[in-house]
Amino acid sequence: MKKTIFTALVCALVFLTASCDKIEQDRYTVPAGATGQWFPSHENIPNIQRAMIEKYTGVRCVNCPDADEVIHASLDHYGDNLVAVAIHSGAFGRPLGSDPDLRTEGGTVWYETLVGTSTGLPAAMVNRGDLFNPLSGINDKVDQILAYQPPVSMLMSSTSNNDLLIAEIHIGFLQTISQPLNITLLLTEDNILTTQTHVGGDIHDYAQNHVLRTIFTDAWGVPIDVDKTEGSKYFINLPINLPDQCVAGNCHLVAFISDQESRQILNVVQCDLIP
Amino acid sequence: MKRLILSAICLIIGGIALAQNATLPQNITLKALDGSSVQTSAIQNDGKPIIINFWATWCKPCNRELNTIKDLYEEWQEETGVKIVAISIDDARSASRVKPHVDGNGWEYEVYIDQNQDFKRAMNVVNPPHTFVINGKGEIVWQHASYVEGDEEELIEVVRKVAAESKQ
Amino acid sequence: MMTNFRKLIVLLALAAIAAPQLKAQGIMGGHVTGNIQIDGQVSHADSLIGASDVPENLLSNSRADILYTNGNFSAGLRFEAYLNPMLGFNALYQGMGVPNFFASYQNDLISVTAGNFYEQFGSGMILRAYEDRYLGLDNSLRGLNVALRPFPGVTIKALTGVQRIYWGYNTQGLVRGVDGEVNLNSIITPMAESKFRMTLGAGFVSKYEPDEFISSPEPGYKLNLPLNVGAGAVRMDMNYGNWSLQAEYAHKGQDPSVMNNYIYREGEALMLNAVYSMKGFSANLQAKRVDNMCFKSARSESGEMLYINYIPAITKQHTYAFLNMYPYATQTTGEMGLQGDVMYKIKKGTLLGGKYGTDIHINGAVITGLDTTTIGGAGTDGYTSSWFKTGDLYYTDLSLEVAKKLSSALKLTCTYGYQIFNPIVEGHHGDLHHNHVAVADLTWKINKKNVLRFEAEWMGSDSKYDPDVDDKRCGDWIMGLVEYNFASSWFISVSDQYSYHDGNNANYYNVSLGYNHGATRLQLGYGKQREGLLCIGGVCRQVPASNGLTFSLTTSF
Repeated sequence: MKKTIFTALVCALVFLTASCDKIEQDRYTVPAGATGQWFPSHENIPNIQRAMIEKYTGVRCVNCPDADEVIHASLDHYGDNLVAVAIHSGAFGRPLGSDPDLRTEGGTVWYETLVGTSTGLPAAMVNRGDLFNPLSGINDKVDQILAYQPPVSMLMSSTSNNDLLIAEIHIGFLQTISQPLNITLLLTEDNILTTQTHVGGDIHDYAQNHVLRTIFTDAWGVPIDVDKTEGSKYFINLPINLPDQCVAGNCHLVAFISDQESRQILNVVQCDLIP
Repeated sequence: MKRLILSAICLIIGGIALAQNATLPQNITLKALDGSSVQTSAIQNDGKPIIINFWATWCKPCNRELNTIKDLYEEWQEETGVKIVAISIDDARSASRVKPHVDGNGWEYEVYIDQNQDFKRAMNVVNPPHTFVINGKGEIVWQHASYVEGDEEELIEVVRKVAAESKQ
Repeated sequence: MMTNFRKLIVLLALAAIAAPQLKAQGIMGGHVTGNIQIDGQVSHADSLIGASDVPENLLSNSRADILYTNGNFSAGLRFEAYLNPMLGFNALYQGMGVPNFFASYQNDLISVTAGNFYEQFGSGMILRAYEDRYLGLDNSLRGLNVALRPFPGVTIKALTGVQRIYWGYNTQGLVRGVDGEVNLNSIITPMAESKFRMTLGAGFVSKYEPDEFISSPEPGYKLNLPLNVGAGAVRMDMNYGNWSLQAEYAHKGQDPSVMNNYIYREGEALMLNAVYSMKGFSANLQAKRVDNMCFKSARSESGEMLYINYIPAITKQHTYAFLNMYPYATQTTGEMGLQGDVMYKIKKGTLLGGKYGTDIHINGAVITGLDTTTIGGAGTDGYTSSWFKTGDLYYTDLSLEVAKKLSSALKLTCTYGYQIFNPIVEGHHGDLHHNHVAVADLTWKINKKNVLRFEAEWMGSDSKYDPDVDDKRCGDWIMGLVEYNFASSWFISVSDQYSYHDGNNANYYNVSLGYNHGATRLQLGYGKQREGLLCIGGVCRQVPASNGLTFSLTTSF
């Protein structure tokens, strides 16, 4: 009995000595984070409406390389005003051979909700509007969106603070918005070489671009709890944890503001991960 | 309201149950003046009466009481065999003054420090000074809170009675 | 309100039934003991002293501790009622209930307590769960406390719990701790009878609090908070003949909190106490250094609640009113102090000793701040400090007390005190106050049943009344008190304190009547209470001015 209690107490002691956190001096402060606070912004946020094209694709999808062509053409045409995100998903997204799996947890959530597993790929959406399957006529939709007066403006830059990468996102309300909004931050990577099936036979070392690698916020974003009256501007700092397999120099950050209920995207912004 | 009833029941039970003397708690840890730990079970006097006095260095009436008794202690011991155990309830602030205080005043009592006040709580002491008389069987037979000059007369009367009873 | 009042009456009646049963009561072979305290206050507005009107007319604090003991088992609960809290107690105490209860088993080997418990490791520099009912402070832990004595002279304690705050518990902040103590004379046989006595001890306490958002001064950033904060201490108690030495050192890990302005500096404290004492003479020297040692179970708690540790003030705890007018409150954020104390008894029959001897008590203390160099604010290490250099003077206290029995019936105590007080210890800037205090205290034992006591006090202070601060203590004071104890159970006292300088004149008169019988004490008072700090053990609470009737009943059974 004595021994048991004694041992238990010694164990408790060992456990306790271990329970003391030591924070390194360069980590006393960290980015406030998505669940944290928005701060008033004094940045000049350009009043630009952009569009985001979500392309659902897969390495086993034989028609996808053709769809990539369409998207590349659009990107060439719209420049910075169009942001592309390629979501490798579903059965078509299963990796070939020893290639890395390009599917992600967040991307799977989007795919299953927005596209559905019974729909064939490629499929695409612009700002979470109608689903294009195949992609013909998608540029008309982009034109239509880019013609809008933007309700919110966005500006994003990435900075590094004590070798910690931070996305600094500024938002400005160009009109008063009453419905709840969310913000989503994600990471895309260009030039990932994999085998890609194609109607004309497998293509080796096919460069996969705009590949969704991770969503830093929840898949559907986190609420923007601020006073959304016309003219108000805010910013937030979000910490970036780069996934191991990503090449930082090929990565981009994409942030977008969406309607909490309809999930429609109001505006989007993109920047390189490495400034 | 439920809680009130609960406490009321406790009080009533306490009031109507058969009277019986409580005994001294046995396993409470006190500090001796040399820093070692002592259990309350060590408070013994071979079947003769014990006076337990709760005091503090900063408590004026306590000091008056213990200084008054100091001059009478030898007489009391010869007459009744009583032993005085002075329990200091000084906390961390003044506990280190207890030893110099006891020596400086020339007290010859058995002194322990109840820094965590476990003994004080177990004995239901609210404010010092609080004096108890323990008979030869370890039962608490008398208690008195506060001190004014002359109270020591009543105390020794009780001790005499207890000493006489235990001789029978 | 009326129903609360009725509840109070019921409680009073019950207390009155139970109180006269002064002996412990037996149930099922065990004993029920307890104590009851009921305090009440009726206060009226008095603009001169700053007392405000009390709309509910009667304020009362009551509590009853009920303890059941049966052999090695004991259990207890505490009833508390604040209807409504008396002046100076936090309004959050309003209400009644049973906030504390416990069950405990104790034998030679082990003590186990489940429920509320009080505990202290060493001198409390890393852990002290305690209560002070007069300060309205209860830091009791609710949880599990185990103490083990595997061999004579060895004690090991382990505990885990959450702290009480007003009527609730800070369930977010977990407190865990272990402590061990060894008395070398008990475990090393050759030392058993040695004149050299030594006890060693060490303890460790860790608190856990979940993460929370505390923004950094830099916009867009927040503080990266340590969720587990540890504090450890080692201590020693040595005695050799007339000499004794106690030392304790405590260290605390990073603990940014509202109390230290969210800095990441680690904390430490050192306390030394050396004593030489023999019959009729004692000298004691104490030194301490405290640096960023505020340790609470909630980062954002700025008041006096939820302290896990306790840093005692080393100034003397005075009993005379004017020596306590400017009490010292421990600055847990940082202070250094030195205190010396000499007691000497001049022998009977000597020139100065006279027929009965003379007691002399000299005490001196100096407390200063730390000498610090600022690094930054929240989210930095805060500052650096020099170990031996002192900062601003916080407090000086010198006192000389001479007590002499003039005849078998008369005893005179004269005290002179000098204090330097820096208002910064109470949180506001201002000039140092220099105070001289003189006290004469004469006790006249007319006969066995009648004792008269006279007390006269004077304080001369250079503190100037500033209407912005409205410190009613400023200026010079005189006081007189007469106390008459009669029929060995009754006492009546009349006193008046008067500030006669500096355009802030007010009489603070008091009459009180008391009755003691056995373990029961009843006291009634009428008069004016000065606003001020009520300090016990270096922990202080602001007490507002009051004007009116107070009563207090305490009893143990």
